[in-house]
Amino acid sequence: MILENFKHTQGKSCRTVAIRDTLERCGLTVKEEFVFGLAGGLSFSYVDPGGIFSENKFFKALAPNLMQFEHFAQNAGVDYRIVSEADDDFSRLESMLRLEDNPVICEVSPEVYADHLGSKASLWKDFKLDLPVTSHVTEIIGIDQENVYICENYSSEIYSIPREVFSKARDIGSDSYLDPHHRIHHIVLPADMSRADVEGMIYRAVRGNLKEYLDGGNERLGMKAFTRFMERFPELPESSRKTICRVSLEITGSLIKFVSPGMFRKMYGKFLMECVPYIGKEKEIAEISRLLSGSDYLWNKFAARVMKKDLSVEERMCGEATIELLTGIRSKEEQAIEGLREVFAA
Amino acid sequence: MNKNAQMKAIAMAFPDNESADDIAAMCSGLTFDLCQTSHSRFAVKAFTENRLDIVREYYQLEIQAVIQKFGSKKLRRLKQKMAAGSSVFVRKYDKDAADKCSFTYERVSSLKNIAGLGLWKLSDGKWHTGRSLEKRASAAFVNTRDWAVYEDINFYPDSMHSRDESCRKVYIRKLVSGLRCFISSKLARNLTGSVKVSIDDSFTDQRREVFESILGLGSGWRELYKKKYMSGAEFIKCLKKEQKMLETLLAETE
Repeated sequence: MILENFKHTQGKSCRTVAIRDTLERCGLTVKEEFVFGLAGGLSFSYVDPGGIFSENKFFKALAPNLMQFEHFAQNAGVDYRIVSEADDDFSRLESMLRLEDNPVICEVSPEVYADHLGSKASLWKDFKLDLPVTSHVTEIIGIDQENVYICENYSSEIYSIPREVFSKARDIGSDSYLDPHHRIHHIVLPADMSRADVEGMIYRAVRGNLKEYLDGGNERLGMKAFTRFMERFPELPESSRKTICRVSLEITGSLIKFVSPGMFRKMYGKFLMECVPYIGKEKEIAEISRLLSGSDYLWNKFAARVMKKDLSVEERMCGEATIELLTGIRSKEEQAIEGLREVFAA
Repeated sequence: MNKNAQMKAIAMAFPDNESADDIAAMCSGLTFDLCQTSHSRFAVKAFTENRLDIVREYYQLEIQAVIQKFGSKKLRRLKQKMAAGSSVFVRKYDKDAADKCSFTYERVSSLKNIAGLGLWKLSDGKWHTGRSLEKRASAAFVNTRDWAVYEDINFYPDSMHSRDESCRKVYIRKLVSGLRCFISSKLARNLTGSVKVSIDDSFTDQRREVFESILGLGSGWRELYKKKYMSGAEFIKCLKKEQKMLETLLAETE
């Protein structure tokens, strides 16, 4: 069976696109940015390279929060659970599709079926980390005797993947960082969300997110991690710099550009603008959104600079232009956070 | 092993011990699985892999539950987490337990990797090899095919936030919203008057624990599920009555 009239458009993040598509299926049309904000989209994580664990070969400066489903469910007050039972004959999956008429959100290692993605395969072939990609989710929208039909966030197409290949993508075995991937993220959505529900969701989401960003105890997350990154990146000792090879900076840059601040700050700004019809305060929110877009732009410039192969490692890490970019990012982000505190504190 | 005892071990790591006891007691929910057994027959069974929901909700805590066998990758990952100040727990199954609930959450106090042999020191005070922990879980896995038997949990106790509301209020609200979600979901639309629903014992046991032991509501709710089989429409009516009962309780709760 294949879901009828399934609407899917390309988006930025696999999880937020999956939630958006499911909401759409339940009659709530929202933008991906809106889901992103409701799912704890204001985040930052940073891990020093080297340090006590030499396996960290690059700066892990990232914004995505992998607990987007949990945050969304909590803020929206909807039922969410993780199903981890092996489903070798796909019976559970088929049953979920049939009974709920929603896409089934499933964790996979997408590079396993890269050969079945046509021109989009290059994304997974070029984007190399030291281990198979984990925590990516795909939307299963159909299944028959031979194939599983899926939608991916980076394309608007529907792909058909042979069942045995798809099984392998769900359980990549011992090569995987997290083995296996049998997890299905199951969100049970009500069909009667009111305007007041949405307003409540917005406040819960932003306040909870701010609290976590500002007061979280984890040094690797939130404001603490952001400040550390800003201070440590250009100041890294000479000895450690040797370990930051060109490849590491390229990976750092591409992480920033493709999966982190280089696109998520702008998304959060757009989320805030989407909130205006519900909570008002247009002028203040527009200003915060502008600051976040500005930060996003500077993050991208920063990413491009650290990936510039014709510059020395020294120049890329602590050259004048790099410092200027970091200072600009810090100023914009701090102002935006302050603005958010003022608008959402009351 | 009941959920309360399992969660007690985790609650010991919370800085706020007073609420932690309440939290441990409130880790059972009302979630269930709806399975279609034939064209017009369904079965409902308790869904128990949601122990951490109330902890997440009440403390607004990012508590990560990861599924991974006891290999060197798991050891390395958790060692990093512990070095960064995280509290780490793993499931230790009773010997030869075939039931996936027969485990305790044990806090990991130390980890060693000696010549490829992973050694885990747990809160039971003993060193275990990764292989022995994995072996303990294997019967439950073979029996249920649920990878959750290899779950580990980590969180930063310092990231906990205090709530203005009581744990009981947060808990009841969560139960209400869970019921509301199901009743008005597309899933529930399958439960019409022309289909039959069989009520598994696990479903009523779960409700007995929540309504009677945790919320102290007495046994009146048992009337709802006197029949082992009912029509889909009757089942939805029962859930609506539960929702109403809990909404009344929520309004009365401080």
